[in-house]
Amino acid sequence: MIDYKKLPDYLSPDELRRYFEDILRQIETQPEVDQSYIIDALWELADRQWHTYTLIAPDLAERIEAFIEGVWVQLCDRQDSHLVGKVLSIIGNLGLKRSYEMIKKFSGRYHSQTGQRIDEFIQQVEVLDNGKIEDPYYSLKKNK
Amino acid sequence: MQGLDRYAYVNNNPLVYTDSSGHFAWLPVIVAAGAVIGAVVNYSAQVYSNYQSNGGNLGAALTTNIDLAAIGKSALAGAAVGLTVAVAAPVAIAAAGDVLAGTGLLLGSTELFGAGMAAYGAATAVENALLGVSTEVAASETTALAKYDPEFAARQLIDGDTIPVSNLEAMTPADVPNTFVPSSTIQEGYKYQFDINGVPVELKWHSPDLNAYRLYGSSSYSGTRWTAQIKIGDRLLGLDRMFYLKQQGNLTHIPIEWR
Repeated sequence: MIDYKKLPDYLSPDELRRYFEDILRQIETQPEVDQSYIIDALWELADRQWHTYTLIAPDLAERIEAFIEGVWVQLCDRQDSHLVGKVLSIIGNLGLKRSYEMIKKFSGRYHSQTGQRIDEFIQQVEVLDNGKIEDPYYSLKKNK
Repeated sequence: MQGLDRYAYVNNNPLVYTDSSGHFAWLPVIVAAGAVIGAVVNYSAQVYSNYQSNGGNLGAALTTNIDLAAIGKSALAGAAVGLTVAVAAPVAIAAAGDVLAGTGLLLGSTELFGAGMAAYGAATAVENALLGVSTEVAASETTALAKYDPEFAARQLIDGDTIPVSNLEAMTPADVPNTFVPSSTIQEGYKYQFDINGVPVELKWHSPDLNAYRLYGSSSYSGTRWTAQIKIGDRLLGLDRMFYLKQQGNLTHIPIEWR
């Protein structure tokens, strides 16, 4: 298993694509793989994708959104706020609009740290990014 | 604003400097001051009454017909007032700050939220000062931060609009290796990953990112100077000392200062 945390800080979009495809293949073919491992991997890759200053390919985004939508309710019910936070980061750093629209429906549903994370994320996107979740570089463009 | 800062005594830099003589607890001083004021007010009132009734003899008014028990009671009342004010005021300010921050979140106002958090922080600082609670972290004690909330500790890294590199070095445990890998776009950097009380911490600072410069030019901190990114758990520290769940450009790429 790859320790994604230890990957180089900069990976080219092509290298990242290979890593994304590798982890997505695991998600799609090995449902027994630990969810925390998958989410940690996607979290690390999403951060590196942001730092390429390019948008993730739509086909990869589609597969990641399908994964998130499949685990979201279960994750929230587990009340693991850090894991939920990492999923929110993946959504934000990759600009996953469909997933964002889904999690917005969960605002106010959980009165716990998990609920706080969801509300905090929505607030940040709506206030700082003017709701433009689909553009992960909105804040940089604002200053340009 | 240094007078209001909880780290004013270490030049606003708790990770580097320490107050070797220890903190002074101000609560007993305030209570004692209340007692003295109470006693002085009562004694003065008695002297004035004596002076009026003895035909203007100040010397006699100062020393005769003085009720020591009444002075004692007044001193106790003064001490009680001092204690009440010292304890109640910070609690009230903290509660008001909490409400303000909550209102800010509800209204989506970062200004209100920030003001509320500032009030809350100031009230906590006053409470700490009153009780003599020490919150400083010594640079030489690389494990000292484990005693604290890592988010709180990370906020203290920021000094004005930058993070002094000495603060980053002070927060890094000595036995943690630098795992930064140079690349064609970022040529030099440092990255340290470790845990504080089970919370993953990542401190990273690096030279200008040529990709960021190419795309965003001088408007990008990351593209034009050395910047730091501080991850505590699942969130990133912002230049405004708040934490963010996603990258926020210049807000989460904090300029560092070489000192």
